[in-house]
Amino acid sequence: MQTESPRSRHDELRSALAVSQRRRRRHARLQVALYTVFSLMTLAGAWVVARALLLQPASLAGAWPALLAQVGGAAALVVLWRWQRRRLVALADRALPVREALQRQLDDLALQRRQSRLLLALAAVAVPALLLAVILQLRDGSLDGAAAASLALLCLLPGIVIGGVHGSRLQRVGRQTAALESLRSEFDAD
Amino acid sequence: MKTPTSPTAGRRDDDFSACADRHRRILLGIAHGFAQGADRDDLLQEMLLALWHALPGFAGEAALSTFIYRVALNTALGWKRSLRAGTVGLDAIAEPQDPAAGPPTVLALEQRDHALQQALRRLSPLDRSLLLLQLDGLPYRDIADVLGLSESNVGSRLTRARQRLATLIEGDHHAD
Repeated sequence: MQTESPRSRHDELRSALAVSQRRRRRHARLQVALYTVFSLMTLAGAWVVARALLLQPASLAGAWPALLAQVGGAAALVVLWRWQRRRLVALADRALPVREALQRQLDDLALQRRQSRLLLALAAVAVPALLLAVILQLRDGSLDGAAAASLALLCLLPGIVIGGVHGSRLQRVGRQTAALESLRSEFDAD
Repeated sequence: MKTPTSPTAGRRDDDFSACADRHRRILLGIAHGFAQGADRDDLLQEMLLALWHALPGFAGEAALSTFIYRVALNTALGWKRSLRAGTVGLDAIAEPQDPAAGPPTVLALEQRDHALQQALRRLSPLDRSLLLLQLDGLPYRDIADVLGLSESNVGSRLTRARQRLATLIEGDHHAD
């Protein structure tokens, strides 16, 4: 069936392994870095807004929606971080009986779906809240037009990115779930 | 470029090489049942990668061959799903038969084997897995252990899978 010598197959595998491990490490590091940066940004933002509210409650009354969005965002990120860790642990075992492995993958897809829905819900609530905060601050004069426009853009961009990425991820996860469900139904028949 | 490896990494490498060489037939058999041509080589590579990652977790609670069957089948089933829907994989294209490959008896045997493999690949993933494991000579208990089914269930499913395989081969025979 195979014409390659075991040696060349082994060398080929070693290089594939090196590439795969580099890619996995890079992906894991990127994911950890992204979650950490997002968490820190959200917490720092919340702290800044809260501090401003405490020091000048009257002039920054419009920042309340932003503060709520920041706190909600931080809580959601903590949940997402925990789910991600659960996914990594659950998928580490590759030698489960096939039926159990299928169930594990279905659970993972359900978790991915929950992650995406949470992020979409976060974007759907936080972006309008942040925009509302910008409008309120523009009206009470704490922000000028140019600063308000930049801030509004900064709020909209992550919303658009999250919407696009996680909308398509939800579709992909839906297709994979349907394929897995049909395979599992074979195992469950009679 | 060669990179220095630690003693642990070197030992893992040796363990893996020995294991992959000893159980190569299992990996090849599963890869052959799920793909052919260049796809089969890709799948075999995926299985070896999965085995490399899984092997340090082998604690001996099942036989090593059962462990390898599980890793190989889980990889093959996942790999099949990861292929894009709507595209025709290379395994869907029949390998050409060379009429000058050998004497008539060898050719007839090769054709029979080819027809069997083609029919196997058209079965559902579960039927295919069951038959591949049985063709490898695994007892019902081990097949049940690999797939996560009960022994009695394996028996009844195998009977039905064999019937479906026979129908497919018969259909192909009549079509020819």
